[in-house]
Amino acid sequence: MPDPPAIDVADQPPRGWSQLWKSEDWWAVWIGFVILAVVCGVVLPSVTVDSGDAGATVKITNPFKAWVGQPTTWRHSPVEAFSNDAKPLAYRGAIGVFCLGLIAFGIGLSVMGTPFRRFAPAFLAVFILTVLAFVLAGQVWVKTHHLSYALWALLIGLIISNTIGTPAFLRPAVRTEFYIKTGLVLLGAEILFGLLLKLGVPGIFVAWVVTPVVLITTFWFGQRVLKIESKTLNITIAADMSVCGVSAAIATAAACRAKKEELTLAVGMSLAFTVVMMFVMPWFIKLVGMGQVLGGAWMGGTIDATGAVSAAGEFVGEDALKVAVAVKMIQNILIGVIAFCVAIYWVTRVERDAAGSRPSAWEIWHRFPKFVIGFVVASLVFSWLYAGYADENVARTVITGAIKKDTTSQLRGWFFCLAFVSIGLATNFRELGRYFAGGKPLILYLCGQSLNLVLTLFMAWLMFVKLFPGAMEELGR
Amino acid sequence: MDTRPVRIVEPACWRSRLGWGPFVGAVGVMLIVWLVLLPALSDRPAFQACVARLNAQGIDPSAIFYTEQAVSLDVLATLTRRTKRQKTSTGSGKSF
Repeated sequence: MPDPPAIDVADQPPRGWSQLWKSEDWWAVWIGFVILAVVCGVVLPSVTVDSGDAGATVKITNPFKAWVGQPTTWRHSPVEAFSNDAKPLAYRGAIGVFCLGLIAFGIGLSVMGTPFRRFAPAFLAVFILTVLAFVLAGQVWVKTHHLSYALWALLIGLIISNTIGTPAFLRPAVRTEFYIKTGLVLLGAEILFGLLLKLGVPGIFVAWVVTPVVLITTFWFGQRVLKIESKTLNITIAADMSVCGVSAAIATAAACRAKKEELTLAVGMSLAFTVVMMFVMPWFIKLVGMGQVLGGAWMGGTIDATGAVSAAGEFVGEDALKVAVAVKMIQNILIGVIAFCVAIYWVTRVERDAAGSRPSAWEIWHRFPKFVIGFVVASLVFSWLYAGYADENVARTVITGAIKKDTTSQLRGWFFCLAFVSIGLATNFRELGRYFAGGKPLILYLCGQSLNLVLTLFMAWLMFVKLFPGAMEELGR
Repeated sequence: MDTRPVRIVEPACWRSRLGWGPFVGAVGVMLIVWLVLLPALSDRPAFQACVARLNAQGIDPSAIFYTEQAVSLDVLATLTRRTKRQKTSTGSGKSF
């Protein structure tokens, strides 16, 4: 009788209570929660609000801001990324995040069985590669063309692993999932459900009706028409193309446990098409004389990445910029819902046993990616915190500005970059090519994006031109 | 009960490699691109004007989420003002 196929250890999370301190999922939740609690515990008590005739003035002390920042933009010399006229002490961010990561991930991995003495030197080396990825991404020409750190982190890792090979001593710190899941818990805090209603009916239709329709249709097309073997690759590309690029790809891939090569492919295609769309769409909109509101809504709903949407909006005009950013922001919030639904769908429908029987509630709980719980809880807590402020301008300055933009989103970027370096260090070019077999992922992306462009344009026209004319002009002023 | 044997799976790239030649070549190309080519492209006046416009608006073209750029906060402020105006004009509910 032949041996049964072997299974990866990664597929065998511990069962019972011990998973609370023996699984990466739960450690990602604990680390994310501790970071959020400490940042809130220090920043929130420091907030003072002075009400004046011109409106409230908010004063905040945020000691973390200087110690979590990413290397800055540079033009001629990479040294400017660490120290320049505007930010002479920019290098402190790398030092602070290294210390935090060493302690947080080091403790977690020690408890899970990786000795700290092996992890520490490995983490130092992986972290240096991460800093290098940020430096490459920070060159002003690269940055302006939305060639973000994810691309360079992958490239650096791929070059090393496919040429000289990933050194054995680095391997204890090549922990893609651990870094991604921790980053995703922090991302959860950035998803505020209160923002949903701000655009009103037209915005919700453009961002929240078209997106799920495109996502589900693309997934169906990939399974039934293209017959893509891997469902995880299919859903990761569909989410990344229909929602908001890299961040949606990361969240969805983690929720359905996609392979690292699949995430790499999805992110690579998204970045490539984003660069093209952020220049072609504004040109086309101007060429055909499309209105700024309609054009902005169209770009906000279709260009994958938030930064590229903003740049494309700016190329069209000020009104288009505001509308595009607003639509994209509402779409950003969809990440939480998509990740949660994909996780549920995967554990209940896709990962059924061979007999196809319905899994028990306990089995569903066991398989459910626990970091999603942290992601959702963080989102709900921060939505509640935001809503708790009597003055929304203060809430925006404190929660969205000081806590998120200046602190947790910086950390989240570091953790995602660590993850992409790790993916590169553990990926083989030939394996990557196998996932691209027959060009099916590219065909899927192209067909899905074409549907997205047509549907979003139709919905934006219906909502902002026909049914609610003037709804967004008010925003544009 | 699952009786399949458990093994630790190592990525194939931890076993296969091209060698130091391609590595040195790749590093050399990157050094030339980032230290010579890109700084030269960045010095073009049209590009500098574009960067100045984006900076003035608080746009970070490399942002992957709305919380990473200042322009999102500005748009949020505009949305808040609009919601406030709508509530005031319809007389419904509390102010922010």
